[in-house]
Amino acid sequence: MSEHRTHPVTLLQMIWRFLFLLIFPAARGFLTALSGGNVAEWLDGAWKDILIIAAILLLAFLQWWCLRYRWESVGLSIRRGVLFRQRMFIPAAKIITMSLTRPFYLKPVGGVRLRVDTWAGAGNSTDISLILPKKAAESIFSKRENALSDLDFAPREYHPKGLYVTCLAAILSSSFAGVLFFATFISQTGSLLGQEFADRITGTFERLTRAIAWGIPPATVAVAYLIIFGWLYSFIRNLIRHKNFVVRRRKNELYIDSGIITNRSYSIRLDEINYIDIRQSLVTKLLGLHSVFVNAVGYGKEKDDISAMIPANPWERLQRHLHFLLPEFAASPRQVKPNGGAIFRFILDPLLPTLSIPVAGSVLAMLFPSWADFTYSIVWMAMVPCLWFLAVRLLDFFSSGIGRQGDMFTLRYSSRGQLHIVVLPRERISQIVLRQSPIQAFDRRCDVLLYSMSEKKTRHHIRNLDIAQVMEIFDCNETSAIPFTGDQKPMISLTEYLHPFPNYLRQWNPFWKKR
Amino acid sequence: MKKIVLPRRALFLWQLRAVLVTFLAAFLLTLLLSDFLFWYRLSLILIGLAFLFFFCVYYPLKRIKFSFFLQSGQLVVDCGVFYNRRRIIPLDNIQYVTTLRTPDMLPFSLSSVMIHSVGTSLYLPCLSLADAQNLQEYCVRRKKRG
Repeated sequence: MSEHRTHPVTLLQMIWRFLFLLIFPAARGFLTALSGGNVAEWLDGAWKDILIIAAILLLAFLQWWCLRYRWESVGLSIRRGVLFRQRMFIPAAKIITMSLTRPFYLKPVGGVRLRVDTWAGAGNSTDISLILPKKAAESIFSKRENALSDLDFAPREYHPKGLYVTCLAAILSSSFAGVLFFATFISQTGSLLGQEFADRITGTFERLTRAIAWGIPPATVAVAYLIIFGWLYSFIRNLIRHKNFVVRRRKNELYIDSGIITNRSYSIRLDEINYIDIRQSLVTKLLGLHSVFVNAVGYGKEKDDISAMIPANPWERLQRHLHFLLPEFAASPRQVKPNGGAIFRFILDPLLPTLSIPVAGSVLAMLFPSWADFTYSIVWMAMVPCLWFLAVRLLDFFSSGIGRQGDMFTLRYSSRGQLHIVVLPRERISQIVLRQSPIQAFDRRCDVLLYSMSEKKTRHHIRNLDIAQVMEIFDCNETSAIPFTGDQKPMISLTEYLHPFPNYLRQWNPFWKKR
Repeated sequence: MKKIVLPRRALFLWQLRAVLVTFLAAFLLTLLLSDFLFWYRLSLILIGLAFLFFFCVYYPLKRIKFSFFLQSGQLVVDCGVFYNRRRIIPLDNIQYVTTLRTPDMLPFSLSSVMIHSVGTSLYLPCLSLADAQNLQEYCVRRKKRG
């Protein structure tokens, strides 16, 4: 099979790489002005600037000319470099995720970005990213899809309802990204469109917040509106990104497609999925909705990537869809769970700011009475995330734990204000850490930190579980040790504190083996 | 494989390092702060307390609580000083194993082992040279078979 060149729009990417050379014309102009030279003198040496621009264009062209690719059934080979020739070959069997991105700015010229990811390479960058003509990229993508499919296996397709996609967009939206966008927009307006225009925008925003403050301090209203508009911006972006969401399951492939302005398609090797994550925020917990996310190398890696597999759904329906698409990843019920007394272990972290912020606010209001209204409104706003965190931890206490069915583990825990149900196979566990604090030693409990296989460090933290049950469920007992059969003493001995794990062994019937 | 603990000479090496670091710190303090008597004395006391803590509590506890063993395709490491930790690494997921020897480890026949797994790594400090080599060989041979 012959080699092909990438899309000519790649030339712009190459030019971007050599733009630093423009520093020479800029320096020449600056030095001419500094030495009191006039335009005529500068024009005399203009040929040098033209030469540098020509060099940039030539270098970019040569780079593009020498960049060639070839897709064969065995893999993707790439050749690049003008002086320093480089040849790469990625075996097809090692490609975990292949994706096609069709951004709106490449659509008119018929360009498509093809990304290839394997276990190798850095965790935050794609192994291979090429801009190809649409036809060529789609041909490579479909060849890979055919290689992973089987005629005996009827493909299964899932189109979620628009309402559920909207819910997913709401779950994924955060005010932070939007606020960052608005702050950058307002700060950069001055430099792009002039200071007068920037002043007009900030003036309008100020008048608007004053007009609709309704007795609340305008500064508080400004912060609140910034957060609300930030969230709305993020929500609309997510909605556009997840519109027309489709999941298709083939024999050994999971195909995901979505987006309207920028279309994205992903092809993930099924046997390389690390785990699935069923997530709930506080709001979706109250609404009884769950979303499923997939963790695989290259999927959900870049900022605007899709990482969901099933948008928000009620539990029964989600189980049905999950069984339909990925029956291999079945969640098992909670078998090891925290005891009743562990509630303080869960609520201590959120309780500290929940109690200390009002106290700090009252002290500040007493010290600066003229700022009291503003201080109290900020305290109220700060209390919202604290109470949110507290509610999540309380829900976590009632739902967290570990389940096991055969070699498939189900981990239930909370992290970053969300409740997670992670289903992962045993072979995807990279490291298990049983961590016991001195306080937990008296209770014979431990936290489980489970690191799953991933390009980046991925940790799942389950709090305050019975240490003997945990050791049993993960098969990490000393087989030669004599099990602890008697009743456990209320106080631990020094020997038990120094060597806790063998001392926690006792006989009991593993619940997952009964099944 | 039976349970392996750290040799006594590992503790001796750590304590020796603590002595050297303390002497170095005291020397620098004398050189720089001897004109400011209050701060000089305060720093010396703090360094002395830190030395006693590490020499008498931290390192002995670290050695006593450290052990590891191999069983049913897993490497199990018990460690921690105030917190108890049991780290379990499935041997199939180990990518490669490196041994590290600093110059001060050479006379004591000690070696540290770094185990690199997918997404995580594990450091086993100051094992006896034989144990370190055995562990490395065991992991590599097992990997070759897989």
